[in-house]
Amino acid sequence: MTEAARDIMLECRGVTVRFGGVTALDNVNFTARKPAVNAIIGPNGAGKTTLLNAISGLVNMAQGEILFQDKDIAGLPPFKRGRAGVVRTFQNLEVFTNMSVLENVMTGCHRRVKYSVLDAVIKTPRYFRSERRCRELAMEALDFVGIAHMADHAAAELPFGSLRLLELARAISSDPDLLLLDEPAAGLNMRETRTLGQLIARIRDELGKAVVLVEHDMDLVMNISDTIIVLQFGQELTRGTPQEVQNNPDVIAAYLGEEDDDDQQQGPACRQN
Amino acid sequence: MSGFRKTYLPLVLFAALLAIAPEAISKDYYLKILTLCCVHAVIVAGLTMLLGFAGQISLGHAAFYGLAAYATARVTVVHGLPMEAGLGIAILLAVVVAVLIGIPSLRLTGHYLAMATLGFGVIVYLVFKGATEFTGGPTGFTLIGRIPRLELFGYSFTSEISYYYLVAGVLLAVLLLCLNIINSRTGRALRALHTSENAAQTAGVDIARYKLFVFVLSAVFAAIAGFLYAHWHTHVSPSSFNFMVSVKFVTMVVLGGMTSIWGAVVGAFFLTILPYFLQEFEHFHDVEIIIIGLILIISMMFMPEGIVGAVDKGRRFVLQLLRRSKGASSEEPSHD
Amino acid sequence: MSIIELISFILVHPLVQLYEHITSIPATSHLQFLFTGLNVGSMYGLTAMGFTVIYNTTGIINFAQGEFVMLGGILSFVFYGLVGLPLFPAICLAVLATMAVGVFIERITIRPMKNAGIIELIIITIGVSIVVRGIAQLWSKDTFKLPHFSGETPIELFGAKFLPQSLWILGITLLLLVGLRFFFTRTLLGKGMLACSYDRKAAYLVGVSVEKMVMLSFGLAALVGAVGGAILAPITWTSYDKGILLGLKGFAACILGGLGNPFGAAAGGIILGVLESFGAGVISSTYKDAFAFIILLLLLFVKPSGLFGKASAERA
Repeated sequence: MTEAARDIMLECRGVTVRFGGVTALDNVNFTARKPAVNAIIGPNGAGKTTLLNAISGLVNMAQGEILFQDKDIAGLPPFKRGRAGVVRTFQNLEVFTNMSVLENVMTGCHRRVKYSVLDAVIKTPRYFRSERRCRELAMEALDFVGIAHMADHAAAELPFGSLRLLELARAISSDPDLLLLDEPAAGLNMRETRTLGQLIARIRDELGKAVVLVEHDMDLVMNISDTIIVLQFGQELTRGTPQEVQNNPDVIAAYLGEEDDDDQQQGPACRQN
Repeated sequence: MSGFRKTYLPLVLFAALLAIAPEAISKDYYLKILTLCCVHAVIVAGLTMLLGFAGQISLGHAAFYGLAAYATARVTVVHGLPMEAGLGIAILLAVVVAVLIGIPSLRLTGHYLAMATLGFGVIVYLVFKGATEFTGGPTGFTLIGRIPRLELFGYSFTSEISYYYLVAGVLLAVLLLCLNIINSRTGRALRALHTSENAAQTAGVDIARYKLFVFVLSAVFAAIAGFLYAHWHTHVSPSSFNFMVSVKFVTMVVLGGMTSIWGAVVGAFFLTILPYFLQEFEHFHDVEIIIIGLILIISMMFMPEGIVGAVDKGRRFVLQLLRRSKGASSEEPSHD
Repeated sequence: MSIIELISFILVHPLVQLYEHITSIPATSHLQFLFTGLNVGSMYGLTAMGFTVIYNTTGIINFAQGEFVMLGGILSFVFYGLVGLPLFPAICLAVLATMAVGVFIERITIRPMKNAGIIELIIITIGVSIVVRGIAQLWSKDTFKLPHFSGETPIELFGAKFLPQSLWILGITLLLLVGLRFFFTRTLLGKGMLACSYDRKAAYLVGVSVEKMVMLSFGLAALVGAVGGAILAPITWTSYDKGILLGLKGFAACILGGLGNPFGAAAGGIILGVLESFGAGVISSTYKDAFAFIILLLLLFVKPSGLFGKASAERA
């Protein structure tokens, strides 16, 4: 599929984010299409997670526009962006540890299956219908990522790798129009990372989603991405297909050459919290 | 549906227990204690929703309890209105105050929220004590008049036993309401914002609205309890609504177990009955607050999920032992 | 926003009336209110500084801080009135004893709870404060008085009177404040303590013993509190229940000045004390204790980072 044949889901224009005196993002433009994996890479502190945070509304922008399905969502609070279909996962897992696996994913359906408190309190038919639907959707999502057999476990008891999948399932279950993945491979071993790569590809191919992927694992990124944007010091260094980016001398100098391979698993940039 | 049974079976059992309790105990004195247990459990159920499920602390819930008690006292005694009006106004007042305090407070987190609710509680308590012409001041409402025993919709609850059944019924209704909310989209949203506000928001949960909802809900429960308390005790005074009382309610939540609505019942009953047990001892009143403090510290340190959590853990442990000892002979032990 | 404005109006409107009322009161009274306010304010400031010391090292708000103040007063009386030591050794001993209590509390309730959340720690320190108060109450419910350090002859200044003890209180508060400032900015130990609050892991990695620092912070907070309790006891007297309200107001002062800033805490205390003194004198002494909390609520709703705080405090 050519670039033009894909629908533009998200367009960030001139995104600038400042923390006190530090400019974390400086006039960054970014486009995400569907169905496609749109990767954001760059060395630690380049502003990758900050860009995701700006898109999902967790940090305020100093300047810029965020057009989601041609509507500017920059002024919306995070939950409204979530409702609109901008859903994400987190680099430092944000699983709801006080729930079961299934309930976690059912929470992901929050925007999709709706009924009022009153329905729940007096147990209307609508409540039962919606809960059943919500459960089905959640099971579907768990099945998709391959941990359906753990549905009744307490989320807190899951091993790390499964938690990553759980977060992914929670995000998918909400049927997002734009799925933001913040270093989903961080902390995973090689086998798990490979499975994750296949999953992300399936999210694109089978579900037809626009995926935005922030990731340090270069193999993963190069294998599954359709386009890549490289950030450095909060600015765009270059963009293109995996091949173009890989062969770009600037990228090699600024990013790949500079950083030790062993550091890649450490992932988190210093400034995300 | 085993999930269904797991949720509502305890409620049915508890209802049966409450129903036969008066048969088992002889004296009105014990019935009074039991009534007070139920009144406290109503407040603590709301506080469990707020603190245990949504993770928002309130150190000022005695204020809502007191506001409702004084409101119904004034409405019925001074203005001579029927008690239905007292109930309505008490709840309305709780809702209005909870919204006014909740909107700015719930934007705060951690220490700031604790301090804001605490400050609110202290101010309200000082008003109860200071506004003598409205509240009777430190002596209490007797200075203005005696609050009538409850009479609702033509039925008067003068006997202890009738009052007990009323309060027990209210408690069951409150518990049913909480259980239904917990097992719903709303309940999941509350638990979600407890663990991660960010993740909850990106799932589309309007955290400000849900926080306010549960805060108002808990205030309304406290108001209902305050109403019931006022027309049962027929006298209210500021000391029933001070900071220590708010802390006692939080202690009940913590001791019973924050992660289960049944913790509210266990905590409220345990800590309400405890002083009557201790009464035998000489320095009991001085010892009571030490015990409350120790309970807070010890349960927080050693059983963060309270009595209910500890019992649950024990039950699971025993089940596991049984399963292991039966081994291959039985395939799957029955659930619950 | 409009509801917040409405609340602010409801709360601010009386203040406007207060101002009009104040201007109709003679100047000597003003001065008197000011003196009283400075006095009480130093007390709040001292308590607030104690909060700050622990908060700066651990990020914990120690709800038992007020009890350190109470202990300082009561133990001073025990060593002076009951044991029969001279006043100053008695106070020193009381301060040391309170420090021991502070360290003990940290050791048995805070250290085992390393990974606990804020709510858990709030509840635990509330529990501690109740236990300490309960024990003091079990010992005696009486009110005790310490002698003034340098007599009770009032000093007159511009027509208003104040006790010499007030000078002691102001002086010692100032001394402690400067001392803390020096400690945190100039000494290795103090810097180590600050480092713990910024980043525990990093502090540990560069060789700061986090456990020791946390323990020390409780000792130091107990010291500040106990000194406050001892120097105020001659004026306000002391009893088992002195700690609770003082603790709450000290915390209010802390937030007023911006959590974590010792100077802000002291200033917040003074401001709170003066406002309260004027409030009690001009509006109503019945609601004397309410003023601190009304100011606190207002501030929390409008600017939770405090008067002198940084903007990010809300997320602390």
